Amino acid sequence: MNYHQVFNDEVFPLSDKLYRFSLSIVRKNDIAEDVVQEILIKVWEKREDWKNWRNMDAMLFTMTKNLSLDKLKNKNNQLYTIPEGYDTESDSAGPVQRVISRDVERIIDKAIATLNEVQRMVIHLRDVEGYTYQEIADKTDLTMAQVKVNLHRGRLELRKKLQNQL
Amino acid sequence: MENKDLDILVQKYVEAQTTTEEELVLKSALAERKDEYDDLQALFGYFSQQKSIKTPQFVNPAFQESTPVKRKVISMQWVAAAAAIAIMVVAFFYFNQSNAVTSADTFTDPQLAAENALKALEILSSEINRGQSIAADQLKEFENLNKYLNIF
Repeated sequence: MNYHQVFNDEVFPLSDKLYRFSLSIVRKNDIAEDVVQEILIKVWEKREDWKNWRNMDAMLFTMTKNLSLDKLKNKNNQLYTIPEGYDTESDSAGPVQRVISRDVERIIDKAIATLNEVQRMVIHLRDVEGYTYQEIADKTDLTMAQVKVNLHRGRLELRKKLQNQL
Repeated sequence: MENKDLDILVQKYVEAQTTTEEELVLKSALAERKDEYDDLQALFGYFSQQKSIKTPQFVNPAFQESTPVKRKVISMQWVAAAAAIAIMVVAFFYFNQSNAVTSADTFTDPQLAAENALKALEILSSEINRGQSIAADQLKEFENLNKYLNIF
């Protein structure tokens, strides 16, 4: 097996997706960055084991999920005690045309932050990344029923919060 | 899309029963509505932005650990050939040099040269002798001191 080629073709290009996935769980850029960099190193170091991994893609997401949850547990207090106004985002507009205003974005950000991490991760994988229910189940180590239940509860909760605020 | 159908589709979406295709239909149907399902429209807008968020540059651990460079094996034949050429080049320059014009003498008349050489050697020897006499004096002093030391 050409480890370099497999890593460069199948693992490293997923960095951005893994980063966004981790960010949906930990909600902090620097922690998500650490998580993904750690995962990349860990996966490269375990290259001898790749042949035993049934699904490389799902494995990467599962590892990212587990490490993100670990980091979240460690940093829990810090993550939920950020005073209002300190977590302002940069003003640089992305290449994609802004569809919704900053205010609305912040309201949604806050509403999502109130969901639990499992709801956040399944909503991210479905609504942002567009994976199928089965793919989400594989990536998160949940059953298909658990994926759907968490999606349902998360979406219900989000709608309730947003209907009050928008 | 009829209002009733849209309501059913929204309900299905919230219950996580929609297929990927149905969700695409739902999004485009909602985009045509005004002042309806504002929360969902805002959410879909938010989700579509999330994919374009700035991501950091990650270090590729496989790239850092560069593949070992294959060492080139140079055959002995080539080494021998190179050595032979080198010897020939050195020999050529060496023999050429022996025929080269040596630096000209300062004196043209051998008689004059001999006289000057003699003079130079005389100056040298006198200077050396002066040094010798000083050294001999010093040695004498030292011997005297030794003598006294032996007495005591």
